[in-house]
Amino acid sequence: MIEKALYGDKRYWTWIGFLLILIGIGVLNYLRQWDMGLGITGLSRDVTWGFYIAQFTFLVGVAASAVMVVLPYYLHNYKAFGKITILGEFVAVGSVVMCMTFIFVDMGQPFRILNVFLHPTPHSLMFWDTVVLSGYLLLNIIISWTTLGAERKGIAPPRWIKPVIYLSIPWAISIHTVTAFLYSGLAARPFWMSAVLAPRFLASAFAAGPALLVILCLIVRKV
Amino acid sequence: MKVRRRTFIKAAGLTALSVAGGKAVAQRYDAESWLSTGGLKAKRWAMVIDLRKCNEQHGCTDCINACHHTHNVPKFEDRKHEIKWVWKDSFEHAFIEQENEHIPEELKRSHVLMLCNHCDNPPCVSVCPTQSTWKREEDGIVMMDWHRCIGCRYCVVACPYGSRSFNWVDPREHISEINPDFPTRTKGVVEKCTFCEERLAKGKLPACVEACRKRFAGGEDTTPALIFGDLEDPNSEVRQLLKANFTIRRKPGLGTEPEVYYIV
Repeated sequence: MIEKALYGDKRYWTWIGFLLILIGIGVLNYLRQWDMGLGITGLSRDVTWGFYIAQFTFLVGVAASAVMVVLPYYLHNYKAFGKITILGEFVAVGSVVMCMTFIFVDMGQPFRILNVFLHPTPHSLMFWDTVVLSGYLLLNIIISWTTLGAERKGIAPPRWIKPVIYLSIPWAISIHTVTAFLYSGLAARPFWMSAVLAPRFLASAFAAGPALLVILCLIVRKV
Repeated sequence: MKVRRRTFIKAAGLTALSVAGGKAVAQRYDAESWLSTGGLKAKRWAMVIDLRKCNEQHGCTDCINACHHTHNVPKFEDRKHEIKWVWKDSFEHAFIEQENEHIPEELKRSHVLMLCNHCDNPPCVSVCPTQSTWKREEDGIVMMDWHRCIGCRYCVVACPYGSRSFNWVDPREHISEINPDFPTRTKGVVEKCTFCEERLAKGKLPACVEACRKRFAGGEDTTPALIFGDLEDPNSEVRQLLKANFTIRRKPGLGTEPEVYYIV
């Protein structure tokens, strides 16, 4: 299926070229951060988490809500949502990849990240965040690959994908809830320490995510 | 061709998962900390800081200098990157929960020495995703492992006292005089006071306590401002001071049970 991405007209390749330039700028600046340390970001003792974690939190919400659009189709059999489910799944994959990238670049020692799996810590919410995000990425890759493949061949997706999709729905809610718990469990940060943080994150995600999806659909329709 | 590639990827994924899983299981069994042979021992180390005595020594920073020199703590001009294991700040900043407009002027203007409180219920330990910080069972010191720390700074966010610092840049260029008996850290890890556990293991008191003792040794009252001892030993100096004086702790309402007590 990857071959589909390799063929396109001039507009397509200009857009890809532009994106590649942006990626290149990002990689070069990450190398500068790699060289100097996280001090290059302007973060400090008082502001230890900045843009990286803020973007991660937003994108986790987008990833969660992108899967929410499949709810009407799979749980309520509302067939009109069938076409948007695939777009939703791929937006979810893209957002989760961005989330994990943001976390990777925010780490002081990113190549030690495997320590989270080698020394599992059930009482730490960041451990659970890593687990659910990796699981979510895996789930969505499997689901989007299978469903898109089936649609291209014009047949229904295989039966085993249904329970996986049903699993991805509570999993989507869990990724954003775990992220909210990351903040809300800190006695040191009374502004964030609230039981309402998880529902609040979910509510704002389910507003922002489908909004982003709608804009994407409009663009895709025009282009 | 496609089928063979898929099978290979599946097999590789499964192998990677089982290796990581197996290692995680094996790690459970060597999680015991090693007990030091000899050295100072206690069930629960705690510190009492006599602010009255500390403030009489106007402008003294002997403890801070001793600690930062012993542990290769760098000095930065850029305040954003500063690293401090023990530091002084105003009374208002140290005891935020003491909202009282009418505390005595001298107390308001006094400086409070602050460090990691080695809490009984440490929030930093409960949030660390790799257990690179943990509370030692034997003596209650909240330890740091700079080899395992991934630099996520969750512990810095979780600490209510601001005791932890992150190495935003490479600290080694900013150490004026390196002490070869203690390791230097790399950039990208979090560090804090460890109650000088490496000195305790050799039978020595923490650097700050020793520096304070030296300062007070020549004077009339030789008891220093920093007293270090075993909270669980009813006869220790710490317990006697706590019995004889009213003490306050920083942010006690959060439930962290800090083990640094202040005589005001």
